[in-house]
Amino acid sequence: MCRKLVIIYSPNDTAGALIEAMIAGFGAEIIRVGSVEELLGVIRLGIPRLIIILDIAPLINGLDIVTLLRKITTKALHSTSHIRSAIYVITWQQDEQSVLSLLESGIDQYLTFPICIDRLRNKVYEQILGRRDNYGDD
Amino acid sequence: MTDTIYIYIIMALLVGAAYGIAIRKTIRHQSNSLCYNILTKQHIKQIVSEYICNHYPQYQTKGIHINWGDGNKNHTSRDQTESESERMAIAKAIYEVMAHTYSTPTDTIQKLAKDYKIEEFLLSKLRWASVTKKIEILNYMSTISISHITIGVISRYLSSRNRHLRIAALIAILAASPTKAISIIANLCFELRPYDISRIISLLRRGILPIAYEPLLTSDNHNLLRLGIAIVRNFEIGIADKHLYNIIARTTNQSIVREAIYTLALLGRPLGRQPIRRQLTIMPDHSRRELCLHLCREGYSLASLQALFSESELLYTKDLINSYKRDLACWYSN
Repeated sequence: MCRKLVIIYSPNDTAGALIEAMIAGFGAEIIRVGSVEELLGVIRLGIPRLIIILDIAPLINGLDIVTLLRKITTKALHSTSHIRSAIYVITWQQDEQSVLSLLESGIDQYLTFPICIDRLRNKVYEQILGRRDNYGDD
Repeated sequence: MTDTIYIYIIMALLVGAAYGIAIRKTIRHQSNSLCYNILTKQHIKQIVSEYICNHYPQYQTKGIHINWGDGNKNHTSRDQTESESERMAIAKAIYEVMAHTYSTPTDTIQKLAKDYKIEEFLLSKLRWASVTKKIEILNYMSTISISHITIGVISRYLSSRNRHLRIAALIAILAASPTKAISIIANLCFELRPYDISRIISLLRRGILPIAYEPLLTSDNHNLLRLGIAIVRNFEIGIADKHLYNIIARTTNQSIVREAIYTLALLGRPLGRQPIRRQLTIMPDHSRRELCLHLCREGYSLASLQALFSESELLYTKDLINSYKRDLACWYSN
């Protein structure tokens, strides 16, 4: 059984706090991390339902983070958990190449700032309740 | 000899005292910054929680509840400093929420700003602040509603020599008077740069500026033209291509022509028309090479590029196109 864990990766603490406030209230445990090491450490303790990444640098470290996360979460999907972790990326970048490269590396949603609070809450709500990509029983 | 030793001792004591004061100030500044950041995050959480509770009563958010208190209390000097820190943290929290979101009802935020007299507070800090702090304060002002008097005070910064200060003032004025945006931009005494345009576009994306692009593209004012082209580019408005062709035909300003050509390239429109070829002939060599590479990356075929550029300019581009196609062939064969 996969606990309702949401991890927010953001080196900018304020932006992370903002997103955490936006998606609060669904009964999910929300953990904010500021570095890749912390992110991997938290994932090893428990596979999350949703990972929200607020800082991406395509072709430098962005693709590596997402590819690494996909490897870890896919491995966990086949071994222990029945829920596929979703990866959302929320940034200011809007150019086509960045979006395509991230989508090809395995993210589920690419959102850009400024963001609508209602829209983000609806997406996270559906994700946490398991209506999307639910491969097994909760 | 004895006098010299005394002088050395006194100098050493003075240096030590100065060093101690500097260390103490640094530690105090860091702890104030830490408190300020914590306060800002708490206020962000409170603002968003109030919005969610108002719009989704079934979700009671759990978080740190701040006793907003009364912003009109009389304070002692230490309390006044804490109140100033709190007000600045509230201003920053409002800015962070408004800058990162759109379609957020602002009634809660504006009420908060009014209760704590954020506008008056920021105005009092603006006059004697450093340039960097002025820019920060003007950014905060762009997210709260400000009066005409404040707009008048801010307007003098439009003629500042510091361009970051100029654009921060412009954004604050545009956010406060969205219906007069076009006339404000048309009457600017400085040329808008790409970064300035992107700041205005960010206001558009937040839904603050109701600007139609068509009047901008037919205007003779260079700032309005640049803004119109930027709107077409940012929102990929394909039906505006005829306006872009007209701009290239009638405008002599090379930077505007360049922007129009790049925007047409983004929209994937043909570039073989006579006005565009004429403009390309008077373009500097490095700009032509740069455009050639850009068109190659945008996906224009070699045949269409050969109609616009010489063989020597296409030399590197051909290799780039061929290498890309070779990668695709290998991928498909696997």
